[in-house]
Amino acid sequence: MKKFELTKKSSDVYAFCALLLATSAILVYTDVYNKPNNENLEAGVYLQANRIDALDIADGAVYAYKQEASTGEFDFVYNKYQVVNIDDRTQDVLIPGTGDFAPAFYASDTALFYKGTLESYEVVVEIAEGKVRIEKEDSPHHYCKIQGWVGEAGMPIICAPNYFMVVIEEVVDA
Amino acid sequence: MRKTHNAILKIARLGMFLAFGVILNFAESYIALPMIAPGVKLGLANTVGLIVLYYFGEKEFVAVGFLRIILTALFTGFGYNFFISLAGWFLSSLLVVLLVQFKNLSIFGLSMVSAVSHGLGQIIMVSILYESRYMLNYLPVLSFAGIVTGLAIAFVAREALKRIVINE
Repeated sequence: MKKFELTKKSSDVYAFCALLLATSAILVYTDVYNKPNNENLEAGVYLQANRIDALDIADGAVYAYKQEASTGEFDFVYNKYQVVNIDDRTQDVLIPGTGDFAPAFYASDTALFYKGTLESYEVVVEIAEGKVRIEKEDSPHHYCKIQGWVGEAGMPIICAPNYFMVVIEEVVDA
Repeated sequence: MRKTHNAILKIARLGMFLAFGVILNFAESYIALPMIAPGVKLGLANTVGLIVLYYFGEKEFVAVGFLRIILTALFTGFGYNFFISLAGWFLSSLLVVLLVQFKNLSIFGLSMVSAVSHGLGQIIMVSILYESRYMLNYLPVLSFAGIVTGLAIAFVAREALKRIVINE
């Protein structure tokens, strides 16, 4: 039972051209009509398709997300840790909402990050010059870290298989 | 007696191809191409799909594809990836089964259509799950990659089909 042929046919070339044309058409459509309004952008943070956070992309900052003890196999809760001034890099800093002090453990050129031990966070998101990247994450192949800086609205950075996603998009009114 | 023998042989062969597809799926996660574009895969498991379609038929092709997703999900969990894979499988199987009826396309055309429609199905599902139409902006990347990987997979599947001989 031979369902198809193994040698190239002329209709393959037509199919190739049709697919290329369709790709170009979608590219033009998405580039012209499906762009977010560039005036008013923020980085949306999603976990399992739930919008868990929105980050201001105007200023350089680093945010880390920690996986709390999960209540089920696919039920994650991530906590946002706030960022303090870069000058405080060496000092113990106040943990928001707790009143406790902890030493800083992560620093980049744009911001400082604090609280907890190195083992206690899973995902670090860095923002600089209107671009966003995932600095550190716990997915097995580190695709989203390899992807690097993304400044384009609508281009998602997706970490599989932990379903963590960051994408620059229009500001969503709460 | 001969008929029963053939039925058993067919089940054994399909089971073998199914297992091979799951293994290729797993192995591929180590040779994915994140440097080129995130989310782009070669789709090596699709070579198995093409071989099954060539030797066994549409029904078996659809079934092996579906069972491969279920089996993979048993290892990785029935999370969002499962639904995204399911959407990709559904659209690509639908189009391939439809186009095979016309007998116009060879393995190259079918593989290209399969890869591109797989990406399209996945992006549609992602857009629904994430409730964001901007996810569609990623479609041109996936679709162009689908044309290239589809051709590559067709070459691989053709070389495999030349060497695998199944006598009915």
